[in-house]
This record gives sequence, structure tokens and C-alpha cells, in this order.
Amino acid sequence: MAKQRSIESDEIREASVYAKRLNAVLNTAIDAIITIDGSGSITDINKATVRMFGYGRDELIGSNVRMLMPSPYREQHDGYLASYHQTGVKKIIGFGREVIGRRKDGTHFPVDLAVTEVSGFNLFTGIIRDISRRKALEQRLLSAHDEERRFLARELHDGVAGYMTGIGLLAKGLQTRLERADSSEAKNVAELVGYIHQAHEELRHLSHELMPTQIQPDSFVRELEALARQYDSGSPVTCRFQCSDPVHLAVEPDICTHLYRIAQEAVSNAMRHAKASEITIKLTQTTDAISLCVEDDGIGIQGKSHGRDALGLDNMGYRAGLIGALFIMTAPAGGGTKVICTLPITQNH
Amino acid sequence: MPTLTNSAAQIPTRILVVEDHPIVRHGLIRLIEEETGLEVCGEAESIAQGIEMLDQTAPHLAIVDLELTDGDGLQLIRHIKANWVAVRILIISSHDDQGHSKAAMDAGAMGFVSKHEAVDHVLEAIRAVLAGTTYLSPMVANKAVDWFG
Repeated sequence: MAKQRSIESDEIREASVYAKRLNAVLNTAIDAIITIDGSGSITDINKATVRMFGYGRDELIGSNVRMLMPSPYREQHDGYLASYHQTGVKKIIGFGREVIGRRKDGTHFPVDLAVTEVSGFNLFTGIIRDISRRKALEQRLLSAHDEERRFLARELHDGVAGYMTGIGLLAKGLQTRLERADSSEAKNVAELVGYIHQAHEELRHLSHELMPTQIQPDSFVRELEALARQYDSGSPVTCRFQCSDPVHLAVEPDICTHLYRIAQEAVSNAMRHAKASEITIKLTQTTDAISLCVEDDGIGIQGKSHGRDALGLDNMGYRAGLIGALFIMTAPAGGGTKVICTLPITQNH
Repeated sequence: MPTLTNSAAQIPTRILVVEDHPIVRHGLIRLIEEETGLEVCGEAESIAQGIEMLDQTAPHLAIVDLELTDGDGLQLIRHIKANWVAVRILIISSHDDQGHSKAAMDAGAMGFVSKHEAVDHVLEAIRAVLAGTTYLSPMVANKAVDWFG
């Protein structure tokens, strides 16, 4: 009997040591670890959660986890849980994804979120990593990429294009002289003038495409209109811009520039790779978010992208992540491709 | 001071070319000199040289680039308008956006040709400006729609 009690006592002690050790591991983790029940109420957190979000433990336990998300995700979270309970379809559970966190002071920050279901307990555990520094690095990489593009565009525009103008003028002068002299060579030189013109045009387009323009908030809608016009004119593709209500972007120029570049990349992909005949750029604004959508009737997303195409897709995703926007690329049932970038309107924008 | 009333058949119209890119300058001179009634009286690559050549050659028309080796072509336009009232000014520039074209026209230029389309339009522009007409090449006009609208 005494022996039995001693074994139980050892087991309790071991369990206690194990629990303490587990607790220490969880509380010394750099990542926030949050456990919620089936209704979204927080049942447990580690110390990193308090550090990361700025709420006290008492404020978090028993509250709905949506308090740690900005709008519009905050309002949608209960729906995601309900949908999972009804359908069993896992949209985020078991996967990791980049989302936006919201601190107690209202500021937003990018996080990597991995959610797992704790089988048999109707609990879900989220492991959250603050990726602000990684995002800042990505921003610097993208800035360096933009700087290189700017350098190349300027070199082409101010340097090589100057030579093209000069060579074109010289050739045109020669053509005039030969025509006046009734020379049979005049026709050949006229052809040469045409080729120089074509080369100059290609150079001008390339330089224009490479130049990373800074888009100002007050001209953002006009720039999107101009983008649609640019792709619509002089090509068999119909490219439209739709913006039903006035959109007021009270955001920094950098954010406008990233949104514009996402639209530009999406339209360019639709035209060059998806072989679309109709492309629509839509811009809508609600009280909580600005949504940019580019849809086309092309051949859709064809398997895995490689090389420059993949880089284009990555760039769109990166840009969206940098400005705290949600980026989704889908293949609608009716065909084509739909790129949606949703930017929450926040006080730190 | 020379006037534009002289017929081209009697006295060729004198043109000063102020352009910092040697090949563009050379190409402009060769093209202009193929035209009956037009003569390039001088060339310059800077504001300072341009002013010197204005004094020496008294041109009817100055073709001015907006980027010169010692500064902004706008300065030269203002100098010409202040000191050589009768000299007409045609701008040739790769900076063909509305901001640049409006600034140049406001400063006193009578025409503006984008370098991207100079081959096809510079002679037409020269003739128009000499005839007293304001001229914008197609790309410049397209980008200036808001300004005129």
C-alpha cells in the first residue's frame, strides 16, 4: 500500500516537473502561442503573447481572439470558425500564412501565423511570429530592386535614347539628300530610318516600364485609369478601369506606389502570359478597406510559374505584404484569373 | 535685328542649335541643312555658349534642349526673351511631360518637340514656329491635354 502510494507520488512529481518544464518552454518562446476554444475565446497564452500584443494576461484570457486582428479580418474571424465547424474544410488550420496582427495601442504589424487543431479538446493553437524585421529587410531589397530599375531606366532614357535620336536625325538627313539627288539608295535609307524609329520606340517603352514611378495618393485613381488606357490603346486587348465610388486614399505615397505596381504586374501578366482579351481593373473602398482587383478572361493560372513569371507573382505578394494588405490570386470557375489585394484602412496608414 | 519677313528664297532663315548631346546636335544640323531656305548659323552645347552664339549670329530661331551642360535650358529661354525679343524658340527635349512643356511654353518657347519623335516632326515644328504658330509634337500634345483642357 505504502509502495503503491510512493509510485503515485513519484508519478505526480514527474508530471509536475514535466508541466513546469513545458510551461518554461512555452513562456521562454519568442513566438506568441495562443490557444482558443471552438467559439474563438482565448483559453491560454504564453508570455510572448503579452509582449507582442501589449495586452495583459487578464485582458486576453476569456476574450475573443479577434481583438488581436485588424478590420476587416476581425469581423470575419467568427465566420471562419463557424464555416470550419459546419463544413470541416480547413482554410488556415494546418497551414502557415502571413496575416496582420493588431496591438493594444491600435498599431498593426505583419505576422506569420500557424494554426493547429488540438484533437479531442475542441481547441486550436496559433503560433504567431512577428515578422516586422523580415518585412523591413524585404522592403529594403525591393527598394534596392527599384533603385536598380530606376538607374537602368535613366541610362536608357538619357543615354541610349539620345544616341537613337541623333542617329535617326542623321539617317533622315541622308534620306532627304538622296531623295533630292534621285538616288536609288534613298529607298534603303528610308527603310533604315523606319528601323531606327522602331528601335527607338521599343527603347522608350522599356525605359518607361522600368522606371519605378512614385504614385501620389491624389493622382492614384488617375494613374490606374491611365494604366488601363495604356494597355487598351494600340492593342487587341480591352482593358477597363472601374471605380464606382470616389476613392479617397489617405495613405503614404509608398503604399500607392506598391498598389499601382501590383495592378501593373497583374495587367502585364494577363496580357503577356494569360493571353487575355478582356482585363478589368476595379478599385473599391469600404469604411474598413480598399480593394484592388484585376481580373481577366485568359487561360488562367497554368501550373507552377517559373523565372520572370514567378518573380512577378512573388513581387505582387511581397508588395502586398509590405503594405499590410491581403493578396489573393484565384482562378474563378468561369475561367481567367482574379488578383485581389485588400488593404485595411488603419490609423497608421 | 533680322526679321522673319524676309522670304526664304532671298535670305535663308538662320537657326541656332543649342543641344548638349553631340550626335543629336550633329543630326539636327544635317537634317536642317538639307532643307531649302534654312541655315544653321551656329551651334552650342551650354547656356554660356548659346548666349555667345546669339550675340555672334543673331539667329531667327533658336532650337534649345532643356538639359544643357551648364544648367537648365529654361534659363536660356528667359535670357533670349529678355534680350532677343524677335528670336523664336523651339524646344527639343526627351522630358516631354506636361510639367516640362508648360514650364518651357510659359517661359517663352513657341514650340516643343519630344526627342522621341524629332525625326518625324522637327522640320514641321521649325516651319510652324517660323510662321508664328504655336507647335507641340503629338506626344507632347497628348500629355498636355489637362493643361489645355
